[in-house]
Amino acid sequence: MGEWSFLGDFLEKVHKHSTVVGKVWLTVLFIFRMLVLGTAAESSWGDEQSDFMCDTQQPGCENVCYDKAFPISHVRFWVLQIIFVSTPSLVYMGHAMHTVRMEEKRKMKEAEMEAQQNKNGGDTYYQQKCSVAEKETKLSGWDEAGGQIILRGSLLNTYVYSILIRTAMEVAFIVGQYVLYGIFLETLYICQRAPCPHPVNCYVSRPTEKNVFIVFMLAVAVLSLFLSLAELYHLGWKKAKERCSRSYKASPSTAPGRLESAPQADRAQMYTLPPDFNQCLSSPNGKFISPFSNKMASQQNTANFATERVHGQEDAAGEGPFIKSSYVESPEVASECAAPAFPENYFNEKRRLSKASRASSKARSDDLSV
Amino acid sequence: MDWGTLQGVLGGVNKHSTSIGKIWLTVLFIFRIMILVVAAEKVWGDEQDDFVCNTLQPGCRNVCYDHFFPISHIRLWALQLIFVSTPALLVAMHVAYTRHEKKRRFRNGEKIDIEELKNKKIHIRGPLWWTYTSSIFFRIIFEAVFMYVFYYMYDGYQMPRLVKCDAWPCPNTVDCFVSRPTEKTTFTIFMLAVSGICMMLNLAELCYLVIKICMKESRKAT
Repeated sequence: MGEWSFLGDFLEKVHKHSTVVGKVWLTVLFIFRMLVLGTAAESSWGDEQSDFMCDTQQPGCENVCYDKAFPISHVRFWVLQIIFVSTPSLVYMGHAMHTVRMEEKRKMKEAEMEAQQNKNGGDTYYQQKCSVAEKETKLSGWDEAGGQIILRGSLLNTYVYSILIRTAMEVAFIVGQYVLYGIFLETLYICQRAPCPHPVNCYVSRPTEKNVFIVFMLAVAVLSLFLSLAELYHLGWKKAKERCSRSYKASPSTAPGRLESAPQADRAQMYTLPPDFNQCLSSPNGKFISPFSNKMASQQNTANFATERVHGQEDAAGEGPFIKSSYVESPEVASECAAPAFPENYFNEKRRLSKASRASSKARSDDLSV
Repeated sequence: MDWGTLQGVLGGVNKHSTSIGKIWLTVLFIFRIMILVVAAEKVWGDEQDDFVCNTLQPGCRNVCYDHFFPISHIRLWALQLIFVSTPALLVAMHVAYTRHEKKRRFRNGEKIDIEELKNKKIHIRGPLWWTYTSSIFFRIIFEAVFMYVFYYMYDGYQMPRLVKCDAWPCPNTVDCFVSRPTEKTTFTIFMLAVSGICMMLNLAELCYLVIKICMKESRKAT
């Protein structure tokens, strides 16, 4: 299993940024495929050639008959299958890391701009914030406040394509295995190939044990295929729902639209963890102008309130694709750029949002590091 | 073979690479080193034990095996991977030297932020650009050389099933049969394809670096 650590390390990082079904798929891959292959299947196939006996004394006949019977050993075939099936996830992870890096660069630039702005005076601050927020909404797959990856836009597309390719690879390898070997291994293989002088009986080593593992690995491959299809269905449904809500959001009245998005985002918060204490204390450079005068107290209140709400909503889980692990503040940002007047109940919605929690969710360097 | 040490060293270089460099490193670890360790070593594991010759002459089998496989594919690939990874060490050394210089200046009283020194990613500019570009250039050269060596030594990339051997002490031309030729051909072609992909990635990275520096120069000029 140590030999698989190269791939295992990469996939651990993918694990952090997958949906629930994706995590189950990865666990199945690690335990039922890599581990079983590394520990059990390898030793079962260990003597495949040395104990491949042919009923002949003709030198070289056994070699050529083994080569004809097993053009590629099952174990190596499964190794290639695991690697090719894992590769699309790595591509998705690359895209996610790229998104993180772009976001970090953008934040650095913003911080620089802000620092300059604070020197020059706060008059143009709102204008700057507006342009920043506009850029933010264009930036797909990233939640500025959350500091984590949301499966949206181009990142969601990459994720969906990676699952599609993974499914195609899985099907290709299952079909390939069937074409090469059928389903079961026979004990006797009749071989006719030079330099064997006539058709020769050859006997495969440990056929029953090998059949058990072949059936097991086929079953796990089919299970993985079903998990991938389930994830695709789930994401497809989510995407359709997102499109519906987006078209509703694009309607003329902006405030109700934001109200609509806030509870949806809240439902998505069931994966969030409460921020660490020291992360609550650290605050960014005053990016968000809260309408409240006493900032820190209201922040702590809102953080506590939001935490309670989140824990209460955890059981009502169902919104799979949203994997961000902190609180959304985008309604607050958008509202700053639009008119300052909004209905009373919108303030209540906003109170859940916490500046302190935003600080906790900066993209940490270890999150998507390679 | 312990490839973990190599992973440790190259992981450090990864921080200062371009995006294409990071992709190259991932391809190297997963599609080459891992395949070598997990799959290919087992395929070639019994290459001499199951190399069978149609003769009872003692020593003939040994001599024939040695004649047709002067250096096993596995060892050649291991050498290739080591040579191809080594130029990245040049970059690592340069980065370490730069940091050392900054530390020295900090100790001499210049105001340099020590946290920034430790964590900041060093951009590929100036002398580091030259080191990095030459490391990629050498990587490409080594890949090409090894691909040619494979082709020259084994007469192409296909593993023959039957080889005819008449080296002394074999009394006449003797038929010798190679173990698992189809599987070996499959893996040889796979490793060749991945080497090709790595070479393309290196070429792309080289072009990217050159174009970036040209654009920077032209921007400075205007």
